[in-house]
Amino acid sequence: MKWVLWTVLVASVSGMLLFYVWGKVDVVRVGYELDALLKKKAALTQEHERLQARLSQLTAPERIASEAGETLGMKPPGARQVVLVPSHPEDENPGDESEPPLRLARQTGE
Amino acid sequence: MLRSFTKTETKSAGEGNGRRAFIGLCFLFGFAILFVRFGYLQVFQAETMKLKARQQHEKPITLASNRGVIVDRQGKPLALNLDVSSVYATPSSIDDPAGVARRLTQALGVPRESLEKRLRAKRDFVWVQRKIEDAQVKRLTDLELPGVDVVVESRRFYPKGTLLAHVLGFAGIDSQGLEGLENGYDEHLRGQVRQVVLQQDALGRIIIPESRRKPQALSGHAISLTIDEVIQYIAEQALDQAVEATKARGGAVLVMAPKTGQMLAWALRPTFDPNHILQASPEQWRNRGVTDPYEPGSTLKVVLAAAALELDRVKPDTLLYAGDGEIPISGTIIHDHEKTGWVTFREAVQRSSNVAFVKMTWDLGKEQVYQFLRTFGFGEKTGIDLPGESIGILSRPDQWSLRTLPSLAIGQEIAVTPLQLLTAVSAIANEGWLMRPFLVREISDDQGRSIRERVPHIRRRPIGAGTAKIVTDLMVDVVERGTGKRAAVPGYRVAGKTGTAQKVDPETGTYSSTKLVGSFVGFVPAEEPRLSILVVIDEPQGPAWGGVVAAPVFRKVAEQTLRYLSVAPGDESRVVAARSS
Repeated sequence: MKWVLWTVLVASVSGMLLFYVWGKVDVVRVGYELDALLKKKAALTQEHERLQARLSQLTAPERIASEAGETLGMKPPGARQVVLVPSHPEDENPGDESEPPLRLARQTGE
Repeated sequence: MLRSFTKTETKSAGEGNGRRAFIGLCFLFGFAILFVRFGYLQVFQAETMKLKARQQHEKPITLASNRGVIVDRQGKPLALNLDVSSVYATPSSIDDPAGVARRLTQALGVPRESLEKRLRAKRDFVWVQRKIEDAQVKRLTDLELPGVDVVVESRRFYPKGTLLAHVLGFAGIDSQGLEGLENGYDEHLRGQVRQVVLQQDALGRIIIPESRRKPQALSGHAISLTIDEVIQYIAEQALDQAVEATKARGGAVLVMAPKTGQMLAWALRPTFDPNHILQASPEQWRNRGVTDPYEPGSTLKVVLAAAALELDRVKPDTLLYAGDGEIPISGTIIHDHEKTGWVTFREAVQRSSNVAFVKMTWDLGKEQVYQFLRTFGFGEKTGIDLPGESIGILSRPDQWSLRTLPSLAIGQEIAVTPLQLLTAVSAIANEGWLMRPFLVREISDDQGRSIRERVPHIRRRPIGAGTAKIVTDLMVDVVERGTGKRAAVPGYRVAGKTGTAQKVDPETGTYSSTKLVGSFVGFVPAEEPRLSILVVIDEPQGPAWGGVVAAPVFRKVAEQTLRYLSVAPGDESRVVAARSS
């Protein structure tokens, strides 16, 4: 009976020690995994920042003006190519039904 | 026999006891040595041992926080951050500093001697090289040097290159603001730097990441500007073309919203790229819009005209006699460009008659002229949120010579910064209210919450609305009939004034006949001003009249910006560019 009691006691203490060590080892393992994930996150953040910077460079007015002019052959509109559109349709001449009340753009023929 | 046996047994037992005692003593001695050594290490060498253990298990790192981003009024980024790698070493973990220094020199190109000296230092942490390229990181990683590691840092990046460079300024290697807004708003932008100690194992791997236990370094605040990058581009492009066409030494285009004091564009030439600051000189990165006063020439006449009208000394139709276009002043003669004779005050402004303005300022007197110049903001800082602003040069009347008052009439013996002049003219556009110009519209934290929002600030009111309207009409005449015709924008009423000023030759100390500054300042639309614009062209080659070199730049900037802002002439209707289909 005494022998059994000792065996149980030793097994319990050993089990507790093993559990404690297991816990510690697992914390370290999770720590390594977390470190790896944080490194991955940092790399993705870095890539995101780099892409943002690239986007900002590509949308710079200087580049857009250059692309529009040199690649697409666009140029600023001339004076007769600009149409003034009243912001309030009721301001327009009500008798003139040939024109729509509000338009965003029209061809001037120039 | 038995007795003999007993003797032998007794002898053996005595020898056994002696051996046991000897072994016991050996153990005792051994334990005593161990105990003494243990005590020596634990008591007398405690600090040294603790230090060694700490150096092996702990990894001190400085976490530099990201600087806050700077965006324009539309939220387009003008200054942001990129992560780059920096190399550091833990000298206590390096057994062969000379060998490590040699290999690092080969991989990174750092000077070997100074590096070796740093690696021999009794410190936990030394920088090897900051902010290196990706290729260098790979070379270094391949070397697998003990005690050498890489940490990610943040580097400031200006994606638009030279755009708005003088206003943005730049940050140094430790992300500290050194010039421009980077310097002026450094307290907001820089965030919080944090020192952390990480636990590492025998292989140098992080056991428990620090971020599990403490928050990340706090990023700096984001700054939203009043500047619009499209208007900025328009201004810079127009200025570039003008400087190139006139082969000028430099120039400036400043655009302001006169009702609020918000700066919309700030272009200066020569310029620099804040991404490559080592290639630029202080001469290039100085913000001459606020640091360098110059003599404004005839552009100052609008302020003097406003003073005379406010004091009711003249009216637009008051006749002034400008004679043969010459007037002797204390040994020198001030000329007009043409014989003027009798002119109305309106015509005097239109033609920028020096003689008429000299007579008018004589009539005003020293004190009144000085007071009005001060109330329009000359001789004091505008209060813009940029570092290094100059107050210009405006001496007190008791220090004036006989020549000072007539000189002031033609914009000499006074030095103003481009921003002072634009702010003063904007007051005319703003019914007499003098505003404080500003560049930062809003500051927000790293979560996007607004911390501070700037509202327009009135400094004072130098003139009344009636006077401002008359001066505006006179300035419109300058553009429609006078010296500023090339500033006219089809479809809009433009108010403006030309100026051509001689620069002082540093060698002779007198006004140079070849070094001139051509300028134009004005606002548009005259009836409901949305933009006030100053153009200064410094030392153009060939004709240097403000109406010739600066007015066309005004027109170009105003025309494109009004279209961009959808400002229609005379009413509230929108302007929409038609496109051919």
